[in-house]
Amino acid sequence: MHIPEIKHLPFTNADPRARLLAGMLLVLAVAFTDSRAVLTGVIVLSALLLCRSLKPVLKRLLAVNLLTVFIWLTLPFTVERGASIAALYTLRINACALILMVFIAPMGIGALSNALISLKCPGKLVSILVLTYRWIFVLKDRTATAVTAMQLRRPEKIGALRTLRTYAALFATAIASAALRSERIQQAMMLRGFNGTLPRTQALHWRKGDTVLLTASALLALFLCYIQQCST
Amino acid sequence: MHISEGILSAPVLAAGWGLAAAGLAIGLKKTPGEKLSRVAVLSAAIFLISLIRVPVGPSSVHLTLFGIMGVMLGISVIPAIFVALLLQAMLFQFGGFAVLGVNTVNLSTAALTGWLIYICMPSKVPAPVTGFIIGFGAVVAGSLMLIAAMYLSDSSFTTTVKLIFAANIPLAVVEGVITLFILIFLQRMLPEYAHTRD
Repeated sequence: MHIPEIKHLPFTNADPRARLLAGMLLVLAVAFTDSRAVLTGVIVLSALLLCRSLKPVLKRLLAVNLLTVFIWLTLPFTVERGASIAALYTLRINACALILMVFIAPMGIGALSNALISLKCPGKLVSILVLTYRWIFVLKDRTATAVTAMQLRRPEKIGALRTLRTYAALFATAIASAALRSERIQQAMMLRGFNGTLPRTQALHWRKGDTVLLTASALLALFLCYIQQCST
Repeated sequence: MHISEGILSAPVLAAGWGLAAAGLAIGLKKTPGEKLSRVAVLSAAIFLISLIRVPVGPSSVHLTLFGIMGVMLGISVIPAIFVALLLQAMLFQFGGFAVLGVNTVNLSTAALTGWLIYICMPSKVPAPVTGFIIGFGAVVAGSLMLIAAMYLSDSSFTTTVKLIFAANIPLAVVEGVITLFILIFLQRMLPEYAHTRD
C-alpha cells in the first residue's frame, strides 16, 4: 500500500475541527454546483494551494478518476450533450477531491479522532477508526511478506482455480491470525482500563485564525449555493 | 464499488446519510465495547487484503471480501465499513465525505447480504455452494445498490450503470470462488468465529 505523500500543505496549523468543518461545507457546496466556471475556479485555486506537491496530487487524482473513465466511455455516445455532462461530472469529482486534499487529507489520525470526539461523534466509532488505522499499518508489512513468500513459492504454470485457492488460503490465514490477535489485543486493552471509548490524546486550541478560516469557507459555500440558485 | 463525490443528487445523498446514520446507530448499539478490537483488526485485515491484486487469466483484480466480512462481523460490519470508507476518503480521496453515507449503505448492503445468505442457507447445502453464493451475492447486491443510486440521481447514467454492472460480474464470480475457499478454511480453523444469529 503506497500513499503518495503530499507535503507543504496549507492550513497545517489550523484547528482540525475548523479544517474538517470547512472542508465538508465546501465539498457539499461544490458537489451540487453546475457552473463549469466556478468548478474550474475551485480546481485552479486548490491546485495553487497544492502547487508545491503537484506530483503526488496528480497521482492521487489519477486514482480518483476511475469512475470518470466509465462516464466518458458512455455518456458522450448515449445522451444528448453527453460530452458536456461528462465534463461537468469530471470537473466536480476533481474539485471535490482537491478540496479534500487541501483541508482533510493532511490531518493525521490523531487530529481527526480528536476533532471527531470534540464534535460529539460516538466514542465507539472513533475507537474503531483509530484502532483500524493503527492495525492497517501493523498488519501491512506482515501481509506483504506473506504475499511475497507465496508468489516466490508458487509454480509458474498453475491453473486459474489453483491460483485462486492458493490466494484464498493466504487470505484465510491472514483473517484467522487477525481474529486470534484481536482477542489478545482486547485482553491487553481491558487490563489498561479500556471501556469502549478512547480518551482525547491532545488538547485542541481554537484560535482567531480558525474562526476566519471557517467563516471564509462558509461564506464561499453560501456564495456557491447562491450562484447555483441563480442559474437554475 | 465506490461512487465518487459530485455524481449523486441531493435527495439521494440525503437518503444515503439517513440510512447510514440509522445503520450506524444499530451497528454501534449491537457492538459491545469488548468486541471493538475484533471489529477493528478484522476490518484492517480485510482492508489490506482488498489492496492485493489477485491474478485472473492475463489480468488481475482487487477483491472486496464483503461477504466474508459480513459472516465474521454480522451487524457490526456497518461501523467497520463506515470507518474503512472514511479512511479511504482521507488517505486516497476515494469516495468522499458527502457521498460517504450512500457508499456506506451500498457496501453494508453487500456485506449484510453475505451474512443473511450465511444464516438463511439450510445446513444441508454443502459449504462450497454456500461460500460461492455468499461471495457472488455480496458483489451483485453492492453493484445493484450502486446502480440504483446512480440511476436515481441522473437517468442519463443508464448505459454507464449497465457497463459498470457488466464489469462487476466477472469480479463477482472470482469473489464467489475465493469466498468459497476462505469459508471452508475458516470453518476448519476457526468454526467459532463465524457470526451467527445474535
